[in-house]
Amino acid sequence: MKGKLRKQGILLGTVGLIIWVNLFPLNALAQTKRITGKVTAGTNAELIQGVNVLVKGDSRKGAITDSQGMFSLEATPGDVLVFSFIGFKSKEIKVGNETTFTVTLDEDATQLTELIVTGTRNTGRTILETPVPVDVISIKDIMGELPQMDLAQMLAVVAPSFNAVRSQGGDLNSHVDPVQLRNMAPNQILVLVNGKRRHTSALLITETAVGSPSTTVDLMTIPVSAIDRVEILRDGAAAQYGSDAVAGVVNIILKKGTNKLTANLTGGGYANTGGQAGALTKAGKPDGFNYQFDANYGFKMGDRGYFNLSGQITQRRPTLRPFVNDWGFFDKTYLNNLRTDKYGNPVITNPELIGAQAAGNTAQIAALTTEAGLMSARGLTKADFAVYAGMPAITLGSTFYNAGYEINPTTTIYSFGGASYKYLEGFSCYFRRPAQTDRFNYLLYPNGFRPQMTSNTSDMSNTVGLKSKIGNFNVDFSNTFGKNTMRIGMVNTLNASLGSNSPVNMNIGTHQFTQNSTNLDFSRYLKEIMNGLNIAFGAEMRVENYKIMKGQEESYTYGDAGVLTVTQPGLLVGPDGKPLENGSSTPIVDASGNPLSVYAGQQVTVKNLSANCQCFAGFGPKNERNEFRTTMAAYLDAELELTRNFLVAGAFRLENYSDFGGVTIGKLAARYSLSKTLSIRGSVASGFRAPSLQELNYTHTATAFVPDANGIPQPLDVTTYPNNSTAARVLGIKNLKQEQSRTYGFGLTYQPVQGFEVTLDAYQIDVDNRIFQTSYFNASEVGNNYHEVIGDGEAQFFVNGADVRSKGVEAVGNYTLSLPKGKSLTFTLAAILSKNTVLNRKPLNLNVANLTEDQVVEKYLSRSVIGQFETGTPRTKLIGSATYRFNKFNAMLRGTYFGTVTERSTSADNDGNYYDQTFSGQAIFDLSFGYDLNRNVKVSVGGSNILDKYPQVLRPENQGFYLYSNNQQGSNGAYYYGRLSFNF
Amino acid sequence: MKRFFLKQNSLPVLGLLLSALVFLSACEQNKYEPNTSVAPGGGTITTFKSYTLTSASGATVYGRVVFYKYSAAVTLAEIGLYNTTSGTAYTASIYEGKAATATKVLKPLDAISGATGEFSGNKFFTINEAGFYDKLSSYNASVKVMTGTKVVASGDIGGNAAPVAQAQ
Repeated sequence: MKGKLRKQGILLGTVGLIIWVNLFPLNALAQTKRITGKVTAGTNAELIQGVNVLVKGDSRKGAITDSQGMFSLEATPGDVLVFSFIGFKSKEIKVGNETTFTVTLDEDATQLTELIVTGTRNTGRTILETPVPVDVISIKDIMGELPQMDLAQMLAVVAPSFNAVRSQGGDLNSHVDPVQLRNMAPNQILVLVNGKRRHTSALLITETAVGSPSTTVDLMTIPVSAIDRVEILRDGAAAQYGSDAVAGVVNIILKKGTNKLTANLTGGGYANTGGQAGALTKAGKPDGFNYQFDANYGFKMGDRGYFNLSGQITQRRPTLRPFVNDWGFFDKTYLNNLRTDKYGNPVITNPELIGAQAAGNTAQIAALTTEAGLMSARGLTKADFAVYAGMPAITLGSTFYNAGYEINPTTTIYSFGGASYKYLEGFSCYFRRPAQTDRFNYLLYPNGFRPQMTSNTSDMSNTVGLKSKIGNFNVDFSNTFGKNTMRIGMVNTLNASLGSNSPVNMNIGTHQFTQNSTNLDFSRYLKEIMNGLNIAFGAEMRVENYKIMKGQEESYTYGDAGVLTVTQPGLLVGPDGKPLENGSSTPIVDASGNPLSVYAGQQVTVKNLSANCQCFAGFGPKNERNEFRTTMAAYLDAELELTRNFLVAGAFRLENYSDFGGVTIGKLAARYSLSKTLSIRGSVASGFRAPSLQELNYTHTATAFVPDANGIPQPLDVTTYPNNSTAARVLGIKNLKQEQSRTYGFGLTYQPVQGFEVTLDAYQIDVDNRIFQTSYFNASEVGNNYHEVIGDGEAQFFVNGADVRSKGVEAVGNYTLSLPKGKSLTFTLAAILSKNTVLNRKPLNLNVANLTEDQVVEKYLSRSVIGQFETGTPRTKLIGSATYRFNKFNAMLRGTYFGTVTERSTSADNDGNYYDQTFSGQAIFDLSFGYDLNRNVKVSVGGSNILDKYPQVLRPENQGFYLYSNNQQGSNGAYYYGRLSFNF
Repeated sequence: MKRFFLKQNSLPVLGLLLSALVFLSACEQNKYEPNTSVAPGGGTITTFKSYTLTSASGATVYGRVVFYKYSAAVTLAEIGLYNTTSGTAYTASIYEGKAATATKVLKPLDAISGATGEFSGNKFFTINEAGFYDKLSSYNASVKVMTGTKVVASGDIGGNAAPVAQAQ
């Protein structure tokens, strides 16, 4: 609901009406009749509560609309009714012969106080009236001025404490953008659409900004054009909304407007100057071009309903930020044609050398047996072997609808939902160098290859509900369904163990998350109790299902390209009579140095070729999952205005999970107005987050890269095992428990004059049993015959690893300066100071034989994970903006400061000095200009990070997949855009 | 919608949709295809004939000589010997006629490393002679391995011996 309200105005109006009615009770005339009607907002047809309806010239007659926007009063045919409400233009209507009215009020843009619905089950309060901090971001008003194109990135630059760090690659990390509040994990934030729980993506993102794997809601699946505004509750609200609302709640309110077409056509791209990396990267032409078209239109369904439809088509080309390294691309076996197949047949990898030898060109022979010489002969440079990081390529289509129909004056049926399809191709893997003999095939990739991961994601959601009244209670009964299906693939890959028969593009599996929530909510406003009491209670049943479906067989199998089946007994020799050579071209001999004796039918692994799809093993039968969870919940929620100045609110919630039991949580909050302009507020809440089905059941084998003694990353196969696996039980890893939180908040709001608002809030969130991912355990470290369980690879797990604390202070100020002649100037400033701390690591008592206690502690919660949580995200973030409007022209300048971050490493030099690095603070600026060409078309141009500021380069020891730190503004550099906005 | 289409707004809307269509249809995603820039001739060689080299009287060195068909014009020869002495230089040549009687060198091969029993420089000796491999089965020749002037191993090849191993 888009409304504007000043509470004291309503109260004064109410009091005034009561006085007038009591002073002049006999003034009614014989010809009066009963007038009824309802009042709606012109922009979105939403019912407005609290509208003053007065008879002109006779203020003793009047009424105020109720929560359904209805009013009733006595009037004569000659009377004129005056409708007024804060935030809307007043309207006068002559009664005449009519007895029923439907009145539409138009918004008055000069009044800016929002009415919010998040964090309260009352009809709504302004942001200065709530007992907890709530930000209202009017997406429909600002989207034309922002360089950003998707919701998460928009909110990251305008909403305090909201972050959406876009990963620049690494496995599937860039396939969904995680969203965060108050520097807490993406799975500690609850996302609602029109107040109903939004399902998360199926993907478990393994690396997030705060150091723990996490699911997240994929906000890219919701077209921005469908959104009216976003309300962000910066406070724990699990007692009101259930699991996940530990850091806060993001409530996306969809548009309801009708008979209005809005559309945007946006294009932009990155300058791609390479920053200060010099020869470590390869600066290129501008890249990352984005194109987006979105549109919104609302159909009116008679006088009683609306159907608002939005669509969006997006194409984002990738940004390419290569790391040009010197890790050795061709080894001597490659350069000198020393390699053989499993039969001992020669594999010619340097045909150029054969040509030179055939020609007898000694100079050329000498050159071609060097890496530089062969690269030169093939026209290759180091950049051809570079590791690619950057933003992924995305093709996205999404549509959303929002509909409502009034069946009768007290009953409305509503529905909203959408469908989207996203194809994404990300930079996921290190370059596979020809020197890596265990994952090489000359026929497929003679110069190595760079696997990329793709995902085809379909997302569907739908809510159907009914709002009505039962007695004096407002009732809302709804069902919300959401499904996210991600089919994961790889391109430019191979399964080395299949040899040249390996496919190069593979389907490696499908993840699916489905959620269905059924809600029944009751609420009643009792105005006679003190200064008003709102009681709400309800129940929720939620069913979730998580599936992992296997991919094509070649993506997870171990082939026989390196395994020889002996046909005749004898010695294991090649055509030259010498011992067969392994993958490193080392002869396979017995203890005496002689060829092995073999028997017919014996299988010998001659070449240790890597199994599975590179670089991300396919999900096979052993990974398949189909897990369900049922959750039942009941809550009680109350808000009481003890006096006009003192509001207290409380909530209590019970939840029971089919897979790990029940939780009981509560919340208390209060606001006290010290004066008309100054209020203080505070809250205490307990909360929880149930481990997601993904955390409980995800299992996968991946290739990790660990630097060797020379700092060159070497592959290592690691498996994430679920906690109910044998690997977990043998090691002593316990089943996951829920995270439990305690949130404390205290703040003040200050509005000295209309147009100037300041809020200041401090918070502390303590989370027990925060879920992290361990480091890798191998069989020799664990001992106890662990090799029988996990084989040669290494194992990692999810654990309730630590108790953590996040605390901070958030200051938000808005000041609008109305100037003469249609000019206005608006300033906003948000300052967030935060600190994350690991309070204590949880003792795990693992069955590890060959590690010290300290080593075990470091294994299950490494210093790099702790570092990422504590110092991996900026402790200080400042956002300041100034917006100037003058008739048809507007300009916006925004500065964002990301404070320092420190990345802690688990690697150290010989003196034990860890390769830690602190990155200096970064300030970036966005600038945009807009001009209304006519009443239908607006053009805007601008850019983000217009000064092309790149973060600091990683120290050499830490340069691997990334060249730059990814925890501040990222390494995309300057972005410039243009947009045409249409309004018909 | 009726109001919307009946009014003069329809033209700009149509233009908007058309421009969006043109705008978006122009975008194909970047593809990063692997670089396969190499000279022809790489890959696994599976056509070969392998012949036994036996120890000369009073010597223990033995092994094989292999001829791989690289192309119609180029044949690769490889030697694999056992019991060679590290630090000792060995030479090898293709001789005309059977080993027992051959004296005329047809092709001197590369030097052999005593440490490895294989060619000390390149793994393969390159025979750049069109049709060499195809005519190998009728080749009247032998291979001798020597230290100085002393033969330590030898064997017939081509038409003078059956290959100990071969593949077409």
